[in-house]
Amino acid sequence: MNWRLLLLEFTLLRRERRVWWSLVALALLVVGACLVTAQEQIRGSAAKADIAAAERQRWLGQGVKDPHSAAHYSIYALKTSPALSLLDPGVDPYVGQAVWLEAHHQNDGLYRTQDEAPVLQREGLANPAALLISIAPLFAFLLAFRAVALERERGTLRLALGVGTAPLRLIALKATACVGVLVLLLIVPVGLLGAAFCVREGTFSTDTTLRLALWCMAMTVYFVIVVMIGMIVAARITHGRAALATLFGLWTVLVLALPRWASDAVAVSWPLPSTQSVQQALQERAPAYWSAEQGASQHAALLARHGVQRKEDLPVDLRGAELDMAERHSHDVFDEVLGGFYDQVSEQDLVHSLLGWISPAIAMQSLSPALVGSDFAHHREFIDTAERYRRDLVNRMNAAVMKPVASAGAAQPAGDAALWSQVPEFRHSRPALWTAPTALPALVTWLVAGVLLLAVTLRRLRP
Amino acid sequence: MNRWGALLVWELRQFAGNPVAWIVLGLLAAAMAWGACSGASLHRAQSQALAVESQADAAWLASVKERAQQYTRPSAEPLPYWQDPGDVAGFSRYFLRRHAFKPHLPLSPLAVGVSDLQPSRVPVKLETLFGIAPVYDFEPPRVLMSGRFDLGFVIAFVMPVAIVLLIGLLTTFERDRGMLRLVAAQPISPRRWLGIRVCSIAAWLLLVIALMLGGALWLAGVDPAAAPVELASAMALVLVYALFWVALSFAVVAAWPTAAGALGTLAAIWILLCLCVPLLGSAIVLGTVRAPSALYRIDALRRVTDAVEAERQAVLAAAFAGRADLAPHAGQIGRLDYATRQTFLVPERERRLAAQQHAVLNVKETRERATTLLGFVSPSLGVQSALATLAGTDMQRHRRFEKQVRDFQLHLRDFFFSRIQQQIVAPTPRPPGSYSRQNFSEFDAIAHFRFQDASAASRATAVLPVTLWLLALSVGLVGIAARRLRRWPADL
Repeated sequence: MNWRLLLLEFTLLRRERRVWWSLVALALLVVGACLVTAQEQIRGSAAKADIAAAERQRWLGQGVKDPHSAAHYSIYALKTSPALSLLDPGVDPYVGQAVWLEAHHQNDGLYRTQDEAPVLQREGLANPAALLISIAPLFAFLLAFRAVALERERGTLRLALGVGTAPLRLIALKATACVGVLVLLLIVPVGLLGAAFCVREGTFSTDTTLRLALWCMAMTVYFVIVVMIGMIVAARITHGRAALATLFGLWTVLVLALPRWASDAVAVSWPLPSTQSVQQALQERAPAYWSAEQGASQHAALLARHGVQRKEDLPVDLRGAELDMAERHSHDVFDEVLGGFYDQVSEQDLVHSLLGWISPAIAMQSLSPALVGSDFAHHREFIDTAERYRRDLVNRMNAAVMKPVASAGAAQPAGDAALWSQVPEFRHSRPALWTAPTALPALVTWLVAGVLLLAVTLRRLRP
Repeated sequence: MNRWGALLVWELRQFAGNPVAWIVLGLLAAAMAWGACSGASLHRAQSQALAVESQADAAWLASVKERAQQYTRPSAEPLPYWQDPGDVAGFSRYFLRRHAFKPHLPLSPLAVGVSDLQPSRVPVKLETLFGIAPVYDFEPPRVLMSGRFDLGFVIAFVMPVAIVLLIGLLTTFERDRGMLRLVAAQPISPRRWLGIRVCSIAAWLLLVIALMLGGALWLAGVDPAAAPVELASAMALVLVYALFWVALSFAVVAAWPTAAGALGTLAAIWILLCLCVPLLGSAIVLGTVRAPSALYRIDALRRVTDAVEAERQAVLAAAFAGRADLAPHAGQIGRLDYATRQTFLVPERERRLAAQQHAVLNVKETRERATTLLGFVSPSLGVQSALATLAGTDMQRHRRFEKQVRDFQLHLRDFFFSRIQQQIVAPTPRPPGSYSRQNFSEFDAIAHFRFQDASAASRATAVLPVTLWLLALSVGLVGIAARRLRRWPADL
């Protein structure tokens, strides 16, 4: 690496005032978006911590009551935001942040941030990752255009190559300078902000550090890819106007249009069942309130299970056993209907990440939230953890109702703080990082293809 | 034909023979067609869900009526009230299934708007506080995150890119090739020369965009006769928006930049208007119009529910004492079933949470008003909102729907609560030895929700300010361009 030449390229970039100041403005915008997102995250996390604590207190202090009533009262499980979601909130604003863990129902997550946001907020692309993935490539293309096509038009490229510098080495230096400027202005500040935020919030850990480092590396690789695309186009198309128009068109297609199109195309080609059909299937197969006829067949099944003829001879409380039977039946239905539905959402996400082969922006859009921990796979973990907790809670309550009464005609004993405290506090952990990034191969392929194509292009470079 | 006319015809022919222009317009047409079809596909699926739900509600009611009939048979053991559709209290809580539907308008493929976030199908339950349960139809979060590739997105974001690219390239050819000095040597003013070129490009663009819009909507299955007013307004809005970007590009190229300079400046303006203004506006609105996290509503709801439950006896006693017909029956308070108790306790919960609900609605309305105002600063935002208004997928229509759902819920409450409470005052005698309670059989008298939509004219009127504002801006920008074009550039 010739450091003096690299420094020269930096200086030349710095002298392109329009491009330089535009980049600085973008950097400020990214930092601003990061701060706004961080502020929202701080407020959201504080609210969730307050409510989770209050919910726990309410659960423990609900007094003496029928355990089944307690299972209906239950608690709200709150989803903790990923530590690094200030870099990329991902799907978090579009998924429920709280779920009521009620008996008989696997409820949907409620209170999606975007439900209450004005249209303005949705249009705002108000997060650093969206700005870096969507807007930074335009600047990368402009830098590449300036470094190759414009220098060729001015004749300075001919001079540079004329002194015996190999084209590959020269272009590699220019690319390094472009990527260096982008990384320095756009990634380093948000990376530092991310680290500072984690330290402030006390969420700094090995996992967070690894995620942050990988996110910064992936974003750097993305910038390398777009700069290489810019260099290849600028080197192959000898007319500056045509090169510029092509780069502008490529940005529109690869970055602006294709990522949205890919999401849409996956949703259209692999459609999900409607929420209505899912809800109807749940209502029909696992009704929360069963009919008299269903109740009668449940009684018969319970008598057969315990090998007795009369309800009075059952070794368990009939009502409790009936509740338990219906609840366990609903678990199978929820696993099949809702579990299958969420599996389909995950499959859609997998197909979408595979479309990263047609645009690096799609690959990065898929990879960034996966690394940060704000994609659907991580949300699914919350859904499953909350559901496991709900089942455990309801099963404990039903077990208390099922206990046979001491003597015939005696009232079922009510639950109290001793029973409530048997239910542990709700916590959910994030899945391991290595299970997430399915779009990584696509991004690496873009990088390798870019390097090879650039090398081939530079062999034929005409100054 | 005078020589200016001849120049215009020549320029029109030049554009017609330019392959780059047709490649760009072809891609734009494909994007518009996909966008319209994608929006239509989403809305078709939602409409289908509404139809299936409506059939399911009807089938459920039929099965409930059948069961109610079956349960009139004599039995030694009475049916629990929660399994008895012939018990008015039991029916109201455990059997009543009514949905409110917000059907799509004929022009809905024009913009997805909030139709992928806000529900078009809401269950109406008597106990839901303030009428609207926080339900939604699940859409893939990834699609919501990246945004829909709908016609609204193509028009608001992609179309301006195509326009600035074409004008930036086609008006700077002579400048880049050093031929401008040859043109300047001709007996023609710079204003007229560049003006005629931009006019010819604009004429082609407006014509092709109008055809593309019409074609995309036709492909999406829109019947023009079903929404003529909205369609005409949408066409006018889109053409004026295209004209705005043409005028803006004209003002930029009137400074005689190179293609690189023109495209760089126009890209910066695009980013500023389409991304930066909404981003900054969003930050300012969120920062100034603050509201506590929606999650605190869970806490408030739980606290109020617990408090009302703890004071249940007192609340019921006060409700009985306050009504002449119920006061003599205060002794029954301890024997009321859960559903009957709720007819008194739900209004009490709403009363205690009313101030919070009012504050939440106020914040929402203020933020939506701010969004409308910012639409005048960021044309892309204004146009997207206006297209959603014409498509019927806007937030205002959803608020109207929510309000009507609440009114409908109150109507249902009047219907059921009066009948349930009447059973306290004058209970219907249970038929001797009956399996069922048999105090309710008016299943067909239960009202259905009918959404009363705003008129087509009001939708068209709502988007008129944005359309006129964009037209005024376009005129102003053309004025700036004309002023800049008083003379040829000094550095020819």
